[in-house]
Amino acid sequence: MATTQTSADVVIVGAGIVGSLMAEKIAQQGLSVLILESGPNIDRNHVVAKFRHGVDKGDYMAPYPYNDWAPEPRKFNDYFQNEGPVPYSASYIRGVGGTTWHWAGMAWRYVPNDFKLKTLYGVGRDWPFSYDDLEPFYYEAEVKMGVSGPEDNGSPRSKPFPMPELAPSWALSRVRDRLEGIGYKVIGNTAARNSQNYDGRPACVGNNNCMPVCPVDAQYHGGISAQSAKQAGVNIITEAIVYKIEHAKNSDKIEAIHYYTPNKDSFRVTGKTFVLAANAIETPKLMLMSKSDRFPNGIGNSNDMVGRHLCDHPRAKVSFEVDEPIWPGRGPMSEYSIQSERDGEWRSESAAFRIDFSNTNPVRGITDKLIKQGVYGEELEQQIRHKSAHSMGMKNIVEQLPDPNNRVMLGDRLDTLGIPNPKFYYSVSDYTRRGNARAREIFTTIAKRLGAKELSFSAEDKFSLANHITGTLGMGDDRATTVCNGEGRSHFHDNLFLAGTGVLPTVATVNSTLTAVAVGLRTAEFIIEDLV
Amino acid sequence: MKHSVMLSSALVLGSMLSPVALAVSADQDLIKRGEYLATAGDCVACHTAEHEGKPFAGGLSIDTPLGHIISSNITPSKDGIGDYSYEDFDRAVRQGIRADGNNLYPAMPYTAYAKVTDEDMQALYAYFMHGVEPVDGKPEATELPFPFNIRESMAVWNGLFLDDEPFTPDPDQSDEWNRGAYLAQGLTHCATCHTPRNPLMAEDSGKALAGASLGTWYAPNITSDDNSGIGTWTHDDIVSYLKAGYAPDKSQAAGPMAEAISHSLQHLSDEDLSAIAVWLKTVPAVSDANDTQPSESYGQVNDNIDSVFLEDVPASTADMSGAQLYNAACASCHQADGTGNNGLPSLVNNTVLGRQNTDNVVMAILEGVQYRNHIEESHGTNMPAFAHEFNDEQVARVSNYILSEFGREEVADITADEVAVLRSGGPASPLLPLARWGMGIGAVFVLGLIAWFLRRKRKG
Amino acid sequence: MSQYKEKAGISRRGFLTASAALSGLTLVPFASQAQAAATDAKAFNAFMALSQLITAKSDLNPALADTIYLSLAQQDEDFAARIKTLNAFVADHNLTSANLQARLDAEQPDVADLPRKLAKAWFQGIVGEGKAAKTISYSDNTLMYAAVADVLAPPSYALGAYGIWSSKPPQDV
Repeated sequence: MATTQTSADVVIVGAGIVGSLMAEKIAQQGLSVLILESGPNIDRNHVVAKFRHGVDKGDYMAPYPYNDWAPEPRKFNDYFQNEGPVPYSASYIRGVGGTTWHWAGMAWRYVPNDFKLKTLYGVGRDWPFSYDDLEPFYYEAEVKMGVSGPEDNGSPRSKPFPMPELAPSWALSRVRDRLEGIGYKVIGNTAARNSQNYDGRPACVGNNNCMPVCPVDAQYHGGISAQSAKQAGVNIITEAIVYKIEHAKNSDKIEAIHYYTPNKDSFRVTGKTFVLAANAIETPKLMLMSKSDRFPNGIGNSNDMVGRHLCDHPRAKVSFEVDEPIWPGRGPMSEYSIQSERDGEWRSESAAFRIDFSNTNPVRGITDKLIKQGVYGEELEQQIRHKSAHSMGMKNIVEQLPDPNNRVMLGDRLDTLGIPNPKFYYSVSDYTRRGNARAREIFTTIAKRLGAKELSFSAEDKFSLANHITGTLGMGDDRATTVCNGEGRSHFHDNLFLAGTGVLPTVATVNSTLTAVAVGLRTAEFIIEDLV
Repeated sequence: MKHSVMLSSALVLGSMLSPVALAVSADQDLIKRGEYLATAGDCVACHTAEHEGKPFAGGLSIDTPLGHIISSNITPSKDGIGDYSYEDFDRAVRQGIRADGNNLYPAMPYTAYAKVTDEDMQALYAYFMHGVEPVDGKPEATELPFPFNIRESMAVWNGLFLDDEPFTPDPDQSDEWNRGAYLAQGLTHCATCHTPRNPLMAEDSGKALAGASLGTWYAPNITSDDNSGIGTWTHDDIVSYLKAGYAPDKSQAAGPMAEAISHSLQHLSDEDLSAIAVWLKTVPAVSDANDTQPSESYGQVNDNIDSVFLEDVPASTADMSGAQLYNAACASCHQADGTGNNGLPSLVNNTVLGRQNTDNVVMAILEGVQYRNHIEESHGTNMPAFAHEFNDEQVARVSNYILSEFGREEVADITADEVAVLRSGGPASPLLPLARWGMGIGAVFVLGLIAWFLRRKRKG
Repeated sequence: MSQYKEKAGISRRGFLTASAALSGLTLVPFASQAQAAATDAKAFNAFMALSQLITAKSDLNPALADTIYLSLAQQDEDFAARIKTLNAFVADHNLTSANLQARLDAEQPDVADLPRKLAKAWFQGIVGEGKAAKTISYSDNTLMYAAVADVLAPPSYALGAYGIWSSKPPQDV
């Protein structure tokens, strides 16, 4: 393991998509950048092989390497401790590239009103900057990540997408046509997915395996970001489990970062500027762990805000049979959606949401059910075919308001290196539940229009969380209720920056990756400004 | 559009149009034709730098066995060929001599361009003077190692190897055949890559189009031999390949050929591509006795695709067998049984897996199948490069697996060392040591040879 | 060259299937850990008969048949006996794929787990339960994917060149 470089201009914790793309941008300015990544390198080909050999193909974590010295939530462990009324669950990958190894590539921007929820609707909190401030960085992220989508998707843009919208599947075209005129317009998704050869990566060839892994890299992921960071001269040390942030003896400045190897050998890394981009649960955990006499609440936590305001998308789901064979599963897994409910006057009362249609190959789940029912012979084959052709699933990406009680804390259980597991308090407010109720009504309207049979809703008090972990490092102008300012700079440590989905003060109605990257690329400019 | 309107107006209005307008429209026509011919000649490929270089402004570094040759600016600016008279231009293109009298290196395919007719030369000149955007700036000068830096040596080379007679049609052949022969032997310079070269880097005319290594990629035999060449290809196969980069169920273009298609061949008219195909079908067969069946006839469909599940996935990709690597990295597109799917190429019955020379198998894995430009009619999906994912051993393993499973099993003996050589840009050229050696102990002989040659030339 | 072609364990053509067809076989020269189980040709024939009933296919992939049989036999030492019992019961009562599970649940619960195991193996490519579960097929040979192979590819395998998904899929389902 490389341990020679123990100092750099900029030290970043976490080689995920945000940390890596920031590292690349900073290194391109001639600064030395070192990334400490707790997990190992991840090899796409190996993951593909593990996926095909795997027996639980619905477990998107299963094909990825697991290490008890850098644990992550898995089916077989109890990494998360829960105290709240709703158990918080998430999955993330600790390894080079991070969790975008498995995602559906959704790369939506927020809509402009998402940035001023408090001002416009009297709920949630405002961002410290506007949509227009972030717009150029959205574009920068889209070019980097190779985003395609429909121009008219609710988020205004100064320049066209770097590539055209993806060719629609037959299912998309049919559903779009059938739902015409009911007030819920169906459009293709905005995604970091190649509709043409782009940046040495091929166009999508319909493997329908965006999760757990795109086998051909037609979908962008953090492993590609890490690769480009390396090409820009960034040094990535893997299997470096950061456990302490050290401040200067007589000032608030951060001076060093300490990490363990899997054997618990300890190393100290110094730098001028430090960036924590280790995901919205692991970063707060690390800050809370880094206690000292000067900072008894942990680094960056003098106002006790680190880890609070945890938001996700506690979704409602529905599945049914459409009255015509639309054959989902051809093309990408997440392909089309409805945007009309992302913003509106009602937002002061009930949560906004996006409605996402599933285009995931349904064959496995359908077969499972039929065999459980004891269906065999020709009937089994025919039903697999019939149900697969007619299957439909929808869910709503519903907004959750930042609530200081919903939070990440340090748990009592320790991992093999003696580092605490995370503990959660999590709940879902009536505001969000009202949004879900409204979504169910719309689901019903749509289902009727599609001649639905066998309509099946998820239970009202069961939430399907989306791994869109936000808010825990929230940025804002108010030093009392946020963790960092609009630059991403800690309110309490001048040379400490926070990045990743945790800094988004609100979760809005879209996946958080693109916005986190855009904000990270913006933060990188302040870091460069400090040092160059 | 514009000029055709002008021309038809001219026909109707006759003398009402000023002679100047007529001259301009005729010039436009000439320039347009020159542009087409320049496309056929693929001038842009070498005379444009990588990464958003301005067209024809030069600066591309071309790896040759002699060293790096840097292409020049051929835009009509003062740093380019703005000062060239037609005669200067003609001498450069057809004889390989710059306006300053210095010789060009034959990386510039002037031995092929020598076939271009005077008429087409005029059109090319018109295009380069008036149809190309002038760009200022001289690319770095080419500096080859001694002795190749003595450009005069090229004069000797030209004397030996340059046939500077323009193309003369064969009256016994059809117009289409003659058109094809003219294009293929001249501007499209097929032989530059596909004809093997003698030790002095000149094309071996006895083995025209019989296949040659470019150091990394291999330009295969495209003579009419059924087994060694492309004798089994239909006329339509050839046209499809030149137009869209693939011959259905047989072959896909890659490497430099993909570039030739994307920059040049795909833009040629259907008539011209058809003409090239007609001519190509008549190129005398050059046969290799080791080739006993057509290259696209090898291989079989894997009928036991689930056998890969009989073994667990090793903890590291480094320990994967060829079959496991294939399943992990290749089968996602080419499918477990090797037959491809709905436009993704089959490996079974694929020419790349049926040749004695297996360099293209390795190169396709290392570099992928990439088109720098958009190909209008191809299936639209590039094959990604695996150079940064697979080490030499893994490339060798997976290459040998696909050769033995889906292709010509007898050549499935690629070693990691061979992969390393291709990865690093091909074998080191024997030319440099040879030439220096020649200079050292054979100087007298070489000088004698040159003297003898010069005398002979003068007599002739 | 042949080293590249080597496949572990089981031959291409389906050794057991071929052997069973020849029948009368008592000793199988087969170096698998399931050798003992595999020697029972009657059990294998019963397995094939039931597999045909459950899949409604007479052209089952022989190599896969071997793998499934050996894997199931390896995981359950009574498998040979139980599969014969099941086959006899099905034959005696003229059971069909439609009434198979219900009749077994009611009348022959000891072997009522077997049809699901066979179905899971053939249709889903998985043998065994829990930690012992193993994928033995994930391809167009896996019958749930074979059933839709004209429209869908098993996820992770490409459907085809870019945009192929825009075409109209079969409507007669």
